[in-house]
Amino acid sequence: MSLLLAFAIASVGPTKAEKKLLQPVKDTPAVQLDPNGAYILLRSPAPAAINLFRLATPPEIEDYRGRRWQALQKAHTKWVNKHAQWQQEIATWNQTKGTVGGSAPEEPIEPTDDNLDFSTIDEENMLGFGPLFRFAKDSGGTSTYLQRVWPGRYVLYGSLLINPNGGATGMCVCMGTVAFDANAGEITDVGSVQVNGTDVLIYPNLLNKAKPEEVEGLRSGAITMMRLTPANSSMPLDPRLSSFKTVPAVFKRAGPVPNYYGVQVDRLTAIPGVLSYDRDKIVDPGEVSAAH
Amino acid sequence: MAAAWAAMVACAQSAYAVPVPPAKLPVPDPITINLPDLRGQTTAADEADFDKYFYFHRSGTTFGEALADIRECDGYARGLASPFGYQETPYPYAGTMAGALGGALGNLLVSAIFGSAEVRKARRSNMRRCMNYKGYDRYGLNKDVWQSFNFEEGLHHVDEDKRQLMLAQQAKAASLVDPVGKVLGR
Repeated sequence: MSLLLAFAIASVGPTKAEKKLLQPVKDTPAVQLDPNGAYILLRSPAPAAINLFRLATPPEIEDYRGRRWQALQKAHTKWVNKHAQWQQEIATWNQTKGTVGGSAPEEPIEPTDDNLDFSTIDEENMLGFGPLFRFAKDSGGTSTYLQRVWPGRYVLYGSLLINPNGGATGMCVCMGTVAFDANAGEITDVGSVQVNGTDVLIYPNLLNKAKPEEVEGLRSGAITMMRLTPANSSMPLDPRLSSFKTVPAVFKRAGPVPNYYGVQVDRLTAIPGVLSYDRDKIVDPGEVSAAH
Repeated sequence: MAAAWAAMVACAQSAYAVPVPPAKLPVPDPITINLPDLRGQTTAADEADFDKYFYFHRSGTTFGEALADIRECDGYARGLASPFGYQETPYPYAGTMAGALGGALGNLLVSAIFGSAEVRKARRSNMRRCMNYKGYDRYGLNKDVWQSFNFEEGLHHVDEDKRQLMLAQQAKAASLVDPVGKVLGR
């Protein structure tokens, strides 16, 4: 483990000033990268939203617990006032036997740690690549995305269009995915991520438009809404990045992960040598039971 | 546009109260769970709607296993999540679902935009995808029979007690009933 990664794991995450540095790298003739920065590169056959989140470190989780607790106290103080007001309203409503003011006023729900409307820590650490802010597009249509990130372990999460005011559409690979480390001083090459915004359960006509060799896989679910091809020699690196250290992502299986945004739930298509499934169990390829 | 969006947000935030299931849900005795007769004849008209009206079944599965599976898929479909994030150590998802309802709350905004039918459809496809990955087959049902132990969920949430009862009924069908009819695709 590098010293920089060790430092990142021991910290409570990036400061506001550091967060400003964590941006997509622009498509300019000359590219300047911070030699101490961590970068993630991924490709997509078509422009697509691709989301990853960084696993929170223990200090970050502690910090999050504190912020969440404070938010709960604030929400609870507000609720106490609202509830007192409601008690007056319901008393009045009862006195008039409901003849004045329409239906009975609804009792405000007491905020608890279980129902607090406060983003989860993984949502706070969610990153979006694409569909805009491409680093490059080749003649075959492949889009390349390159983004500076905070060093750490990243989980491929899905393809989301997130509204900053809340809510999202898209899909997650919640039922099976991969994770990898992004280290400082390196570009971590994830490879190519192919996103289908839908599947045959949502859109049966998809089969009519599919490549013949993919019809059965799409029908059975063996081909899912997100596919990952790890970096290989058929994925050339942009020459503008040649002076920077680039390493292929080393994947490990990950999940299941909660459906934080209430979107379509799927899993990453199995990857030879990396990720397999035994029914819904996420397993190493060598562990797949012959029975299934 | 901004005003319309703000109105939808306000509507979505005030119209719903999302129930939270207890952290550890009890497993009822399946003998106490009543289920309609699933062996009734279905018509061609019924078959046209088998995408909507069906039950899951997997042979060699206990009631407890089926209930855990259905609750887990229900948890995915409604966006339940622990607030403290994904942990790399394996964990039983169904036992850790209670907690923050970020997904369930946040997606109210999307529900308000796309409408109830699309939300119901999304729930159906999530349940089908999840249960298929778990190895369950689908069998078609008449709509009236289906409605007696299933629910659809659109813009309004199903009462938690009613939900848990129906999930238990579905688990009984998924494990303890001899299925009839042809196996449908996932």
